[in-house]
Amino acid sequence: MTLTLALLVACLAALVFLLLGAQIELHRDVAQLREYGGLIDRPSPLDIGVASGAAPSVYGLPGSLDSARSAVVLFVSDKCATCRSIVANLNGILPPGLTIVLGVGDDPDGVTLQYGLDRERTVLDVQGGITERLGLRVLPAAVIVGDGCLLRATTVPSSRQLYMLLESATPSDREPIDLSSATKERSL
Amino acid sequence: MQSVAEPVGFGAAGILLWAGLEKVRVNSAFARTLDDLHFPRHFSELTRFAVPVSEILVASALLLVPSAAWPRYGMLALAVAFAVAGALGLRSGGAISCTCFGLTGRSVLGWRQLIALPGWALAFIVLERQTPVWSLQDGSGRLAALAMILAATRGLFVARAAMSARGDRRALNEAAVQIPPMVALIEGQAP
Repeated sequence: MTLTLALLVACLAALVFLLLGAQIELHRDVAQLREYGGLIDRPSPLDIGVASGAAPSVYGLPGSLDSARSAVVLFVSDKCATCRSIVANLNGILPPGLTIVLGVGDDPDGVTLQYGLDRERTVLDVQGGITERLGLRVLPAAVIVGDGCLLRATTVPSSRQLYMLLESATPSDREPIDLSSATKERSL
Repeated sequence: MQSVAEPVGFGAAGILLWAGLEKVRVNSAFARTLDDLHFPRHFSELTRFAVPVSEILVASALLLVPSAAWPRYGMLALAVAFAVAGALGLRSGGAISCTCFGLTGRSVLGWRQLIALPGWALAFIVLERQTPVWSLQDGSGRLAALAMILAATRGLFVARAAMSARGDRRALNEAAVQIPPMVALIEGQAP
């Protein structure tokens, strides 16, 4: 009886093994389909040209970033659906080390209120001047700041990628950003 | 030595059982590997079923009847066959998909099978010199435990794949609407 039971358990476990193998293949198929369909959640590097290595304040970003060891500047626009989704997912809470540069239209105050953004840590880019100076033509995008210099830029296709970008910087290295010295396209 | 022989037999059985079950599941892929090795058609048709069945039988027998000699010799024969396949893979340029453990890996036939041969030979020697002895009933319990360990290990892989898929799914809504607004922004139009 015990022998039969043990063999039955072995057969059932082998069956589970085979079914789980099929499930792994299904996951791979879905990933492959998503890749072929272009529905991939993968950031692409952006070229910021001569801005690489320069001080952030030169390009209109907050002066406090010039002394930041590690920070992420997220560029979003109220015209971009993904940007709105990412900003909405923040629920008004900006993680440490994150600065938002918000390209806005006619009602900048309304946009910050709508998403509950912390005005002290949000730079309004009314005419798109900062984005243009950095040569960013695709939003949402992020510029990584390290040791007070602009290092590189990347697209941010989803909230998940934003958080991964923030996690890639050592938490202890990130510093809260004081925007009192920020060059703003329009005063808050 | 007995304490070494038991885990060696258990490990060898685990590897063979995993490989055999996977070759059953993706048998057509295994058949393609045999075709790539330019085996004669009739031999290939036989081998595509004979190899996985042999692997499962030998693995089960290593645990069910450890005192019998034929499972050990069967294990060694399979190891030699794997090494020959590796050598044939190397001769063909090293681009033949292995399907040794199914399609979940991306390895090719080659050095790996050749390097594994001494390991299999060592396992054979250990099992030959100090044959584990236990009853058929105990062996069936060990076989059940092994099958459950394999299923649980695979379950971990599935869980990892599922978590990755879940992350992608949650990001999909944002990623799916990304490109049109980007174009609109560049052209200065609101979506």
